[in-house]
Amino acid sequence: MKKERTVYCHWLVTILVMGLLLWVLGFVLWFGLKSLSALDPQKLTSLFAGTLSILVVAFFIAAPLAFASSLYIFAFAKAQRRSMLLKLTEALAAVPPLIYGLVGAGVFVGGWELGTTWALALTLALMMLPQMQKSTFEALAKVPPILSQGSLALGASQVVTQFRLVLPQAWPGILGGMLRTAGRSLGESAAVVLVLGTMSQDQFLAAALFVNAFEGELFLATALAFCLLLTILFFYLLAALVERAGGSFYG
Amino acid sequence: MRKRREKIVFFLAMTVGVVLVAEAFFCLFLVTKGWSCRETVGLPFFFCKGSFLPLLLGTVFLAVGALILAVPLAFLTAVLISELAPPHLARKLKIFISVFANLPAVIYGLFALSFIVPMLATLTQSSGFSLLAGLLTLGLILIPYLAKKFLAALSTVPASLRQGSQALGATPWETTRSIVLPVCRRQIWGGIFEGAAFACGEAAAVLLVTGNIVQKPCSLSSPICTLSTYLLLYGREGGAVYLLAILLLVLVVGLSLLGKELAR
Repeated sequence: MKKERTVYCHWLVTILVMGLLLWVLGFVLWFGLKSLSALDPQKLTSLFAGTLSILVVAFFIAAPLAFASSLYIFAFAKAQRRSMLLKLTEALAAVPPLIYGLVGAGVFVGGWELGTTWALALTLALMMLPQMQKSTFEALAKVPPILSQGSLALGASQVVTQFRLVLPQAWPGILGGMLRTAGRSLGESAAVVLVLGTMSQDQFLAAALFVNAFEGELFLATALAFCLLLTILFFYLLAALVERAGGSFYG
Repeated sequence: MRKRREKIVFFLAMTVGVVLVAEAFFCLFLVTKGWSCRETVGLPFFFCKGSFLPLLLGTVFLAVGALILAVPLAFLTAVLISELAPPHLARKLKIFISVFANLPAVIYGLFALSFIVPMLATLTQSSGFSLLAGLLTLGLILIPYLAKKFLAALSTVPASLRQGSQALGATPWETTRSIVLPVCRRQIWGGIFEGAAFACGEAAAVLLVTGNIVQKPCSLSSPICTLSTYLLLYGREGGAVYLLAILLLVLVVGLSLLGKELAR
């Protein structure tokens, strides 16, 4: 009898949690759609263009570096050095984005005096780098080691094994993880606000949302939240599609 | 052929070098900036009675309070999804949870600003921007985050243990309580520590609802400022900010690594 009651309690709490989360989603979708007219379409397009161009630049700086370096660490580095580098990556992936923003504001804006686009792209790249490395490690680790062991035992070199055997299996996971990281940094507002300052916030969607909310422009902020939500969901959908399209057998 | 192979490996090693240089640069910048502002602020002043203690207290209160709110809810939800719910429903709920865990925190902050703050304002006859609003907001953000971590923790338990228990005639709840949960207790604690790290590092959503007055948090309805919100507000002004950043960095990375170590 008592057992039944505990299970009942689990159901109740789950329904409560789902209700709360659906409330948040419903709020953004419903009020966002209603206040969409508060947005100036021209401003919205420039905002989108700015956000996406920054994200693309950051992605193309961070992704190749993350891919190549984590492939080296995973497959070619010596065991001791590898575990050390893995620890380092884990620690850096845990650093709050805010601190990357602080450093970006100090170095790229204050020190090198780059334009906002480049400063922001470099900051985001620096932030995404360890996270992308982490997701690449995870994707590479999903390929069963017995495959590469077999290939090495047949006399293939490590390079051939990695490029011909492991990467064809792992690439959907690697690319999907990178897209997921990009989607997450799309919603990053704290770091971006620190780099841009509150004045020039019309370059990044999440930052514009934060600044408007902070200044009490709730209508505008809700409409921006609606756009941000759709963009982020698009990115996650893309990541999921890539992961599935690869048809990775062992994924 | 051999030459080309070595070239590829050398190139890959070079990229590791580039990444490491960038990361070392990042750490070096923080440390030198923090060290150089020791004269302008005065280290003893900073650690004895300066603007530092209320911020740390705010962070700790906020994180602990939000965890107290979120952990039971997230735990019960995760256990239900992983162990008790019928599989087809569990799959849908899992996707649902992971979507919400990936939503940016600002959106939750906006939601809190539109609903929680006005509600508290009418209830407590004050502005509504308070520690309590921060707790509720952060708790809401933490629920899906923690539930996802707990689901990952529960999935480390091998299915054969569950099957063995069920073959002996235990109900799903008995299996969960006496087999599954004891096995993954460490992983669950790891998830809680990672949640604490996340709660300490979150800035934007908290900044929107806590009122941002640097003072010791003396009651639930008093406005507070945490390390992360202070950094977000005054980060561009330089100076002692970098010392706070190092403190926050050590706190968050320490908690997160502790959690990962436990979950291993």
